[in-house]
Order: sequence, then structure tokens, then C-alpha cells
Amino acid sequence: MDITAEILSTYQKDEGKAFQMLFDAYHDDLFLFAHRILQDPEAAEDVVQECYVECWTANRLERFSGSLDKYMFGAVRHASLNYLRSKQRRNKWHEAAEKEDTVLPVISTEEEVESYETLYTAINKLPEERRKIFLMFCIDGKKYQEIADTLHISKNTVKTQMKRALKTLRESLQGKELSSILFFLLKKSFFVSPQN
Amino acid sequence: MREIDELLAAYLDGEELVGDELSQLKEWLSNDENQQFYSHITAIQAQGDLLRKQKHPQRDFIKIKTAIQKKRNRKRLWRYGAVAAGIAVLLTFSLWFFVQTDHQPEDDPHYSNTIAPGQPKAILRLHHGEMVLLDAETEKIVLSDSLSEIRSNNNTLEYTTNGSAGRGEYNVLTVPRGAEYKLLLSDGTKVYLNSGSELRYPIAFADGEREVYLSGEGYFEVTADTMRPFIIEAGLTKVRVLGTSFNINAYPERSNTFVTLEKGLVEVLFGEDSMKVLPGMQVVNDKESGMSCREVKTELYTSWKDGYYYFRGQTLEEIMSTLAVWYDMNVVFEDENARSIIIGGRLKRYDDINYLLEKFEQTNEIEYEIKGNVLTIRKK
Repeated sequence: MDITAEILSTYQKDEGKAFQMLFDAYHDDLFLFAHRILQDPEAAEDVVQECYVECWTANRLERFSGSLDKYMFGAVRHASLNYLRSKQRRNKWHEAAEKEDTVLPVISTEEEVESYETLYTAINKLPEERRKIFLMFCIDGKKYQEIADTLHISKNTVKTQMKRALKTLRESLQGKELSSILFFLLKKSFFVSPQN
Repeated sequence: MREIDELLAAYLDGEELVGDELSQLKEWLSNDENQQFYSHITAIQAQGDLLRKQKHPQRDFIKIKTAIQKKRNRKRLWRYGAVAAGIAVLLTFSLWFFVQTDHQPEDDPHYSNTIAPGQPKAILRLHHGEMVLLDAETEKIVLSDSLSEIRSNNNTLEYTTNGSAGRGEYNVLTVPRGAEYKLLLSDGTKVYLNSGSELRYPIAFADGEREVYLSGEGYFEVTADTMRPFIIEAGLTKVRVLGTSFNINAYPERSNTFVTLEKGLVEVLFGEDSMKVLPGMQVVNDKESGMSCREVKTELYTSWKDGYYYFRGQTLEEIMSTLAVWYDMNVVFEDENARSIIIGGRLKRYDDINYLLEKFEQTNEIEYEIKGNVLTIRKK
């Protein structure tokens, strides 16, 4: 049974348990997605929680059709963009808060947000071990040997899993439009040296 | 020749590519779409760097999650105690109105439904992101180790900590519309959270200051601690206290924030302005006109925490906007001039709303109808 069907059938018997499953299935990737848009971990956490709370209080699981990941990622995308818009409005009331140096390309179009949604949804769909390895590499910044040591597997296994993850993610993005701004940034970032 | 994903995987880990492999990779990357994908990967790596720099607790993403799994299995205990009444009716009041009539409510043709009053219910988000549902019927020990305990009993969430354990670890308690909850913080401060509210607070307070963040409405009974002033941040309003009892009404969707003081002394801050307030006073912070202060009957603004509403000289529109959040319903005024009808009285918070609406109808001014969770009001 796929995860959406599992959660929905559990909901009929035990709402609390279904909610817990919904949390476990998507929370971390939703956080990464929101953080990518907002670049602020507290705001990202708030936005994700709001979406979960809304899902719960509005009884969205009651008569749900479709796929839950699409719903949750869509909700977080929507809420994150709203947050950005209202933050821009509120800025005139606050002292200009000095932000952390942001090293991520600044998102300027909703198109780009959509491509992130595709990407983080695809990460979420990866088989458990593969996803874990991919995130340990990209987010935790660990090299393959370190990952291999932590998980008690061979470095080759790590590399193979990474290869497969990259393939899956690449295929999920195929055919999506390129925004000209992102293209420009790509030209600059090409030949970034691999992490040390 | 290795396939491209394998080359990419090797390249990302810093492996040196041999012979034609490097040019193979370059050629692959000369394609726009491939280049975009590559930059997606480096961007996720950059995001990881940023998370670590921002010192987010989830920065060691995968490791922390595994630790949570273990901790969760070992330390979280769920105990299902007797079903509590969940109804905190402390006082009995009778309803009185400007126009009094004697009338027995008989068979009521008005409603196809009842709208239930709020129940204690809340969602707790722990420091590492885990979420726990709380209600009045289930006693839960959310966390219990040698240093601290978080227990949900009846409709109060209680924190007990030993010394400095849990400092800087923030929890968030969210109370949805149609619910309410109480919080007992580690320093003994008691917070009543009204419907549609949220409080962000540390498990244990650091030296120097006790700071929490409020959205919505909360009634605070702050324990006295002259070494550590208590600060509540509610949007643009900040309230600074030493030890006292007061109410803050700061719903983000409304343009005004109200701070009502019952006991003690507080300082209210709003942008550049600040005001020291005495008991019986209420500060109103308006986004357009700034800070102002007025004398009020505090019971009007604080009675909700004791389980009843007290309305006096308020319009039906105002009353309904308060009740709509507690009963989680939508109110529709079919006649505009029904909005400005003035009604007074005391209502137990847990009363069936029909009881209240019956009484309103007895004034012979209005009629009502309930369908689903929509309450429609008409002028008679």
C-alpha cells in the first residue's frame, strides 16, 4: 500500500496515529523545502507546523483524494510564499534585521519555487536508505567515506546509492522550464570545486 | 566509460576523474538542463552549510532524527487515565438582559445542528520538531528523564526542570480555534491560552531574562523574580513584567493589540514607545494610531480564563466575533442593523451555544438559525 493510502486508512481507525504518520513521512523534507524558500530555519519550522495544524483542524484527511505529498508540499509552498509577501510588507515596521549571509541563490520567481517543489518531493520519494545517504551528503556535508563509516556499509555502496539518487532526481526535473535568472547563476557557478 | 550519474557521484565526492572522463562530464554539463541540475545539487549543499551556520538543531539532519527515534521509544510514556470531565465550570452565573422576559424554551425549530463549545485541545511542538497532540481526556507524559519532565494532565501542560536542563530549547504550544489550554512553565508562571493562539517558550529559562512569544490571546500569572524580568513578545508589542497577572489579546489578523492589567506592574513596549501600566488599565496598540491607555473593567477582558464570558454594553457583532473563535463557527448577519444591538450578560464558556442564543431571541430583537457550523442572525 502506498503511503497516502496507508495514512488515510489508518485515519479511519486512529486519527492521532495517522497524524503521526503524516508527520513522519513528510516533515523533514517539507522543512528543507520551506527553508530553501525562506532561508530562515525558525520561519520554515513555523510554516511547516502551520500546514500540519491546518490539515488537522480542518479535518483534511476526512475526505481526502489525491496524493498527500502533493497536498503537503503544495500547502507549504503556498504558505512560504505568503510568509515572504507579508514579511516584505512588515519590513517597514521593523529595524532592518541583519540577515545571515545567504549563500543560496535568491529565489525571485514562483517558477523556481515550483522546481524546488519538484526536487524536494522527489527527494522525499527516494527509498529510505538512498534518501538518508543523499541528505547526509548534501545537507550534513559528509563525504562518502564518513557516510559509509556511520552506516556501517562500504564506500562503494554509498557511491552507488548516490549515483541512483542523482539519476532519479535528474529524471524528475527533466522537461521543466529554465528561468533565465537561474541560467545566469548557473553560468557563474559552473566549475565550483567539489567540497573539501 | 562510466555512465554520467556515476561520474557525477564520483566528482561530487572530490574524486579525480581520469582520461576522457573529465571531458565527458564537461560535455554533459554544457547542456543547459544538465547544468541546471548540477546547480540544484550544489545549492542543496549550500543549504546544508547554511543550516549548520544558522545553528539549527536539525543541522545534523540524519543523525538527530535517529536519536529522536531512540529517545522516543525509550522515554515517552502514554498513560490513559480516567476520562476527565474536561469541563472547567468554576462558577455559576445567571444570564441577565436589558430586556427581561419569562419564557420557557420548548421544542426548537431553529436548528438542524448544535455547535459544540470549545474543548481543551492543543498541539505541542518539541524542540527537535516532533509534534504531540494533547487533550483533556488523556494524561500524557511527554518527556521524563532525570533532568526534566513535561506532563499533560487534564488540560494543563506542566514543565518541571532541574536547574539549567533545557535552556534555550524552545517548545511551541498551538491551540486551534474552538479549543483552549493551560501551561505551567518551569518557573511556575501560569499561562491560559485562548482559541486560535500560540505560545513559543523555552523548556527552562536562562539567567537574565525570561522571554516568550505569543500570537493570539493569553492570560499570564507571572511568578515574581526580580532577577529575571518576564518578557512577552506579541507581534510588535512587548510586555515586560516582574511578577503580576494580566491579559494580552494580540491576534495577528486584527489591527489592535490589547494588554489588560489585573495585578502588579507592567511595562508595554510598541515600536519606539513604551508605557508603564497600573492595575485596572488597558493599553491598546493600534498599527495606525500607536499606543493609548484607558481604564477598564478588567473582568470584561479576563473572565474567559475562569470559564465564563462577561459582556457589558457590547454590540452583538463584537460578542459574536469573540464567540465565533471559541465555538469555531462562522457567523452571518442577514440584517446589517442586527450587528449593533447591545446585549449584556455572563455566559459560561462551556454552555451549549443554543442556550445563549435562546436568551438573545427572548429580547425579541433577533432570530437565529444554525446549519452545520454556520450561525445566521436575522433582525426580527
